[in-house]
Amino acid sequence: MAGGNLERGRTYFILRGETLSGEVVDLSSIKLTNGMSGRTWTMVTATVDNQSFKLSKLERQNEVLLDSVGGLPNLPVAARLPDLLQAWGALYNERLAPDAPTRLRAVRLDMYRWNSGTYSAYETYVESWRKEL
Amino acid sequence: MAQGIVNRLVVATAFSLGVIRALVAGTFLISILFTSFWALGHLPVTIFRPSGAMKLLPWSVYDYLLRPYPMEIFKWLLVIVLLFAAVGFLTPVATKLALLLVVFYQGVLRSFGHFNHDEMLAIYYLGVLAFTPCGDGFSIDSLLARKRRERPTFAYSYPVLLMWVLMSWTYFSSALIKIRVAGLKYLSPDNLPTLAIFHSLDNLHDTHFKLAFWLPEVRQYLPVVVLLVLLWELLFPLVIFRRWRPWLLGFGIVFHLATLFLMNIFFPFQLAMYLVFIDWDRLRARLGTSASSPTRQVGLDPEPTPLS
Repeated sequence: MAGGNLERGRTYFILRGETLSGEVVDLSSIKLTNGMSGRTWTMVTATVDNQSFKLSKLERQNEVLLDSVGGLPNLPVAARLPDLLQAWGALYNERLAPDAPTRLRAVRLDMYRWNSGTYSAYETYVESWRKEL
Repeated sequence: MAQGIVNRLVVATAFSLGVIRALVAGTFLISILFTSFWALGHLPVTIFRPSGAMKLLPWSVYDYLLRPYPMEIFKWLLVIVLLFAAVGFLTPVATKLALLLVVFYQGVLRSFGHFNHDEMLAIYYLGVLAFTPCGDGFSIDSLLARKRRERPTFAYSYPVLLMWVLMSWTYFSSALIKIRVAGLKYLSPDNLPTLAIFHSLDNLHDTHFKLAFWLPEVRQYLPVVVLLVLLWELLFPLVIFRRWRPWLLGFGIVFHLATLFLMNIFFPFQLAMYLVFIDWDRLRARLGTSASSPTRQVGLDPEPTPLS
């Protein structure tokens, strides 16, 4: 509710898929999980930020992972993002014929930054996460 | 005296409250029918973050539920309960169950995403309907009843007025929080363009309109636009008076369409709830299905003069 602030830089994400034929396509997350209407972008941001590891009571698999790496400071960024990309990839491929060239072989999330101060330079590439299906 | 004031502000009957019940439950029903719970069941439980009362349930519940088949069963449970609530069958039970299940469902969605506002008002409306006689008219229950229930007009007017007040509060409090958090900075020429552009950069929003990138060209005029929106939100409680209603609701429709095209943020549930302001009894009379409402027919209350 604080409104927009031009001086503050912002990061954002583009969801993409790599097809069996080698093409890179933009994926519409809302077509994959339409129940998350209006909320997908925060779900992704929270996943990249490992928010599900910052709860007072953790899910069992997250607890095991956190113990194995030795605590939150050692947890890599977006530790559970591959789970989400895998789910989206499976949903996308589920709707296609088994031999369709448009089937995905990998799903990736590209992170960009809009640097502060100007109404330009919207697409400074930051990093990507990729999940082979 | 309070009853008199309510009856002068709202002229509602069992029929109009029943129509509102059908609309609110029907809105959730249609939305859920078109939602793939199968797909929701594919989302990994490892990114789930129970919020609010959702924390009270053990993880084993979510481990079990957040899978394709259990989510599909949950969907059809919701569909049946909302269908009963919409058509007014076993209404007292159906509306309470609908409230419970919808709150839980919305809690699941918010535990994956964030606490957004769109459906909140409709959830409050479900709460109001669950504890008011919304099955007395426009319902299967009323058709099956051997004897028409006789209640004073207040019983139907009060819930409708409460819904109007709840909607007023959503907008009024929205303006207050903007003023409290951002103060005069909220009227900065860069506020709207920055926010709108941010919501237009990714491909994770439901729509991908790019009109936001045009806003910096007209940034000097935008403080006036933002101020108008703030004033509209602050004045929205006047919607309870008939003469203000078309202006305030009309502005609201334009506002919500503007946020869709400029910010890729849409509030379809909130807009659908505008239908509670329609005078359903008058509309029915105009359509000629009945010259007067059921409540008036039994002569419970003289027809109050609405305040305008």
